[in-house]
Amino acid sequence: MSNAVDAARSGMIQHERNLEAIANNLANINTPGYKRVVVHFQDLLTSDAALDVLFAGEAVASSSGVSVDTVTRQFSAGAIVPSDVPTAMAIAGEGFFVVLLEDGSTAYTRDGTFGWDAEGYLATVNGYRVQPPIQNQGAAGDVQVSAEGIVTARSGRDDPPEDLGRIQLALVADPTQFEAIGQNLYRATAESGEPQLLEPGTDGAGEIVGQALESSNVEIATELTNLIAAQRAYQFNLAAFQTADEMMRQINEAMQV
Amino acid sequence: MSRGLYTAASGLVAGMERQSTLANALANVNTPGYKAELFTTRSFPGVFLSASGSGALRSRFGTLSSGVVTDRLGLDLGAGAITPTGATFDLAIDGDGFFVLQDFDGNLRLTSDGHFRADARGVLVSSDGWQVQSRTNGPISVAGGAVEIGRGGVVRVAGEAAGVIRLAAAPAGGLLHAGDSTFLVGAGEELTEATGEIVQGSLEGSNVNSTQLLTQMVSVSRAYESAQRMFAMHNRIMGLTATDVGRV
Repeated sequence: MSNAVDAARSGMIQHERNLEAIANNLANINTPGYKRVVVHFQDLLTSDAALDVLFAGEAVASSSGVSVDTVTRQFSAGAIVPSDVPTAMAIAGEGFFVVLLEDGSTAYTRDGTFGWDAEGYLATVNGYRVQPPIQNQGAAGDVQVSAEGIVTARSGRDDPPEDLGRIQLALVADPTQFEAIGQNLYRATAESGEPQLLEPGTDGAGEIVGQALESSNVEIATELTNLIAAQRAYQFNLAAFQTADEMMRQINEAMQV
Repeated sequence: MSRGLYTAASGLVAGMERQSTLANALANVNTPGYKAELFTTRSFPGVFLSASGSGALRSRFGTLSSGVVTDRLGLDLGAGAITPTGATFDLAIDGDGFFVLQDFDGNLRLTSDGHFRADARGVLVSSDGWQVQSRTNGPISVAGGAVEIGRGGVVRVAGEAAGVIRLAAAPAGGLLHAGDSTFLVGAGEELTEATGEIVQGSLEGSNVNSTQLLTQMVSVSRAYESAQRMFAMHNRIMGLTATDVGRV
């Protein structure tokens, strides 16, 4: 009997998760390199026992509710917009920047908001150094990043450009299976595939656009449409829950002697 | 015991079952490729009533149906709206047919939910990791370049044909929801090819019609209320019989 309540409850809980994901996307509408999160639903069977019954070709087991199947990121490109910061860069292509975390492991990001850290290394805003390390010794001016990822700077106004290092990009088979670890960073997993390190401009890694940032791929119209749909879905399930509740109240009343 | 009590009770049971199916459908208004289940309610077979006694005293009153029951009719195979998502491996079916998946136990399942991905081996799989079947019933490898999937289901990786996605028609025996947005193919059921076309970068939505369901929910809850009144009434009549009839 509580099947109606269970189904409605699963609907409310899961659509709330969708609302959270949409809210998160909207909050990151101006975060460079942010990739929107998409919630994917699947219908739910009452239990595994019900599935066994199905495979045995016996009675009818109807599905009961909904569950969030996957919460995946959509890695479509955001618009590349110019930036005032000389060390800011964007990727025109599918690759990821490679950074070194404090624990010595590697993480990947599309957010090219880089700067020089205290020791002159190119690093993210959170201080994670870009791999391979690119060091800028001395107060070098006129930093340039070429499409091939070569970072150059001049010591003085009339000096020739000095080669500081080359950005590498990582490509994986399926970035949607990356593990998001916050701060716009991702870690590779067995499902995403082993990252392949490439030089910018080769084998589909993409090219570097200097003095620019990739904006978030969140589109406000899409998110607001999804928000309305999720909110209404929540309401429908609330109505189903209230109706089931009312029916149960009635039956309790009828049972009174 | 009073027949009416059981008739009213069957109305309560059927009403709650209907409400469960409606709640389930409403939970899945945003589930890609979800197909709503169709239900109907029908009365129990009628029985003849006659007065007890014999000869001329035994007269027929007419028929009485002693209750109501919920029947499952099958799936509503109508298409959901096709919405663009922009993801390479999101596929929608325009027209009839289902994707064929092979789960980890080797069972074939059908689905309209084309939210696929490439697994670590580079094989096209469903979001649960189940292999998407090609027309030759094998895996489709999508590793090694940009993937384009034509309306006819031909998968091209970096311009090279890598296989054709199979679309199967709904078997004559009907379909059963098997969870994870899939439908089970019954034992011994032969799958035939379907005529639908594939739209890359889109997903088919749920075919649940929320307005219709909410309207039905109102009528279900009112019918339930009526059955509840009848039930309470019978209860009261029996209470009166037990306490008041025969009292001096």
